[in-house]
Amino acid sequence: MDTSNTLFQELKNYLSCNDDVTYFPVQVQDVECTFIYIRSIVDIVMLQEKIIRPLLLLNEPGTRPFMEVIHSDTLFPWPMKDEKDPLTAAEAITAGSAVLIVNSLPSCMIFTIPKYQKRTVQESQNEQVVIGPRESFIEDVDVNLSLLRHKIRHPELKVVRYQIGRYTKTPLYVVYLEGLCDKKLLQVLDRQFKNIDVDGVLGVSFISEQFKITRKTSFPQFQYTERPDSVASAVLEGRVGILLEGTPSAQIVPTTLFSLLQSSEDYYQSFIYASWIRMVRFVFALVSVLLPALYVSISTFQPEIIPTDLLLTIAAARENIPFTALVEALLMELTFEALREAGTRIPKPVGQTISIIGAIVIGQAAVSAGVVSAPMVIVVSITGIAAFIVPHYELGLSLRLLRFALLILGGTMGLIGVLAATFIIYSRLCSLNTFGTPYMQPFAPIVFSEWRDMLFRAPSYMMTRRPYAFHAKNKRRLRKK
Amino acid sequence: MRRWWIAISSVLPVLLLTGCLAKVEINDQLFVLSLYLDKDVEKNEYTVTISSPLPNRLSNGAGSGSGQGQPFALVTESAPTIPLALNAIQRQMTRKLDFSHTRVIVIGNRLARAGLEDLFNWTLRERALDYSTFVMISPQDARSASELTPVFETMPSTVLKRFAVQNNVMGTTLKDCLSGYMAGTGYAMNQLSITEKPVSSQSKTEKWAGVDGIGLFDSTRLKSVLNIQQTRVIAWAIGSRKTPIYRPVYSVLWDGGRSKASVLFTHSESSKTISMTSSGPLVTIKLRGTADVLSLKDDKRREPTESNTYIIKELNDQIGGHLREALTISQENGADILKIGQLLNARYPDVWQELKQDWAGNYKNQVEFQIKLKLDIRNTDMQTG
Repeated sequence: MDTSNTLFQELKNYLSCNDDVTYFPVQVQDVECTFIYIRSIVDIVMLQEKIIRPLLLLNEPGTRPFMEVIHSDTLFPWPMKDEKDPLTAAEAITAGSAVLIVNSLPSCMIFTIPKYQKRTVQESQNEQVVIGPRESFIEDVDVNLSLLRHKIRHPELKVVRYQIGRYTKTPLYVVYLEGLCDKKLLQVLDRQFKNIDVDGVLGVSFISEQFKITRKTSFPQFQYTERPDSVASAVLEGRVGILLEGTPSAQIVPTTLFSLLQSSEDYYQSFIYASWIRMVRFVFALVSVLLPALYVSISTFQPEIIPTDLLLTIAAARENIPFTALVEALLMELTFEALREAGTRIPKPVGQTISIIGAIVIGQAAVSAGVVSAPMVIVVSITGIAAFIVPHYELGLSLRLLRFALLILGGTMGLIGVLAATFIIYSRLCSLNTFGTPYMQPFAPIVFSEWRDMLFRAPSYMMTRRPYAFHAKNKRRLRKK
Repeated sequence: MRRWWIAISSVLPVLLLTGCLAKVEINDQLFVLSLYLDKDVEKNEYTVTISSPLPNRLSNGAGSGSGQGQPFALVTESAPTIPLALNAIQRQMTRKLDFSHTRVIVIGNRLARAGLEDLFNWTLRERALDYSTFVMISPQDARSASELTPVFETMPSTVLKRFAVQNNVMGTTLKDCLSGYMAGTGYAMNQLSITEKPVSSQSKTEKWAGVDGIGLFDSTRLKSVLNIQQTRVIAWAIGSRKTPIYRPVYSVLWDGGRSKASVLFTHSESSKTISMTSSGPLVTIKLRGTADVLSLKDDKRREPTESNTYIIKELNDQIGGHLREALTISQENGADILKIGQLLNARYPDVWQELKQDWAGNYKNQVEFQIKLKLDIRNTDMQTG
């Protein structure tokens, strides 16, 4: 390559100290050309077949002069873009494009042929279902979009691209259905995404934390899901899906508490069973927040409401326990949290050991040593299990956090403390509003017609209208013929 | 920030004023499951016995002592008043007495005859005590009832509680007594029988409790005790035989004693209505019952349906007779155990206002009873003899 080509030199400067950048010189009809690309992130087969090969064919006798055909659309069977700015070209190279520099030309040609390493579409790990689709999103956003497009094959499914991060240049897609989605919501999102100026984004939670509404409450304002069918279902209700490159889960806005307590499985099973299991889920969601606080408050402040036989059982179990019920509960809950966290972080081969140690050794040993009482172990275990029945992981975390606040209030102020805290939490929930949607709808404000998909699920033929909460323009979901 | 201060300053007083921060751990409390009250009339002194479980002897809450001794303790103290006696017990205790789980109060015979005003005064002021606590009387000292042997249950208090819960005869509660006391009418409660008999071992006898009648009270004092036949029918009339654990069996004879049958009442109900006549209040008591024939021997080998008419006639005579006897005793003693006064107050408040001043006397002299029985035999059993 002629060192007088300034574009090449500047590009080389930008890419200096990058030993994985390949400079591949090619001579075409006495013209020196150079391909610049990063081998690990471009599709080499595509590069050779669609770009280098047609170029080399020009060396055969009888072909038109290279400088004449170089800008014609027919030379490469692949889209290309002319670029004069060396910075933009360098950015394209680091984003997985191949750049062709022709010695005598002031501009270069950019071919977008990225090929990142990715895993295949796998079964959903965190939102498993027995019946219904099992595929889940992966880190590659194009694959995720393809999964979504596969579900909704309509031109009104719109996909708007944003790029977030000065260094990471991470693509973010907003997915919605034109005509169903509230335009004001799209405007809010558009404004917010365009205003994000940050070094990089590596996870989708960064996006949600940019919105003010998420900063004043522990309850999730964005619904995470790793299931394409959940996003498709949300988009069909008039909600918006947000997909980010590098994150194997999408976010859905706006969201309500009840949508976080619904599982995809609810819609794939018989409505009778789905309703039953949904009610069980609601009960245990309450149990996960309230049970330890109720146990401690009742046993220390209001023992008169415990049936006598149960009271005697508890009293016998608590005999000789050195701690107060509150301290005992806090110890157990903290131990359970530690076990859970250890269970999540621990390498898989030793994960089994932790669960066995946690469940059997610590629990059993603590009871027989008289450090904690058996009823408390039961309460903490039920609470622990109950927290995992909540389908949305972040909501489960939020409930677990609130449990500690309630527990301390219950242990210091009794039932009154628990009731006061519950009332405050309930008031807060009722006052929350995500992108114009009340968090507790259809419970507060009451929309009776939507109760058919709240505590229980009515048969699908009865759910003829889209939820009011998401401001869908076209309310009718099902037409009976 | 200001909003937070307003929220905290409005919520905190509510929490603090409602008895928050007044916590007592379960194992710092002594739960009194039953109270036994006696009175020495000469010394004018109350003897209070509390029965409380010993959690350390309840192995994991389920055992009955398991060789470590009884899982309950009895503590007795005497003092001029009930609160003083309880206070004296509390002084010896390492844990705080708690009456929220007291389910049975047993009253000694002498205290019952001396009057229960002091007991009612105390119960009305002891907030922790539940008004659904069962009350019963002992034929001797109440303390003797606390020493019964709990063969099928863990503690004596459980035995006594289950007598009332299962409605073996009556389940009179503190609320029933207080309503009778406040209204100036009367009430009835189970009288226990305490006997010695070999139960769990043939070689030695143990104290065994049962129910063998009911005590009739005017507003405060035990006036008389009904025998078991009268008790059964009064319990029926009061309407307390709802659970099937105890159902009355009657035996009847006819043809001069040559034919006989036993019947079990599977269903019984009662109603009371009041009307005014020129001579005073007329109370109509209707008893309805359905019985199964358990055994039948008809000397003349009649058809079962024909035998049933004899059985029903005999039952009518027997039950009606017992009820009449019981009502007569209650009237003679001025013990309005059927709470006719409250019925009168609801139906004829003006008449009640006139009669309530001397209700015991008016109940005795002015109230008339009319008894109506409607008894049926459900099965027409084969002859068994």
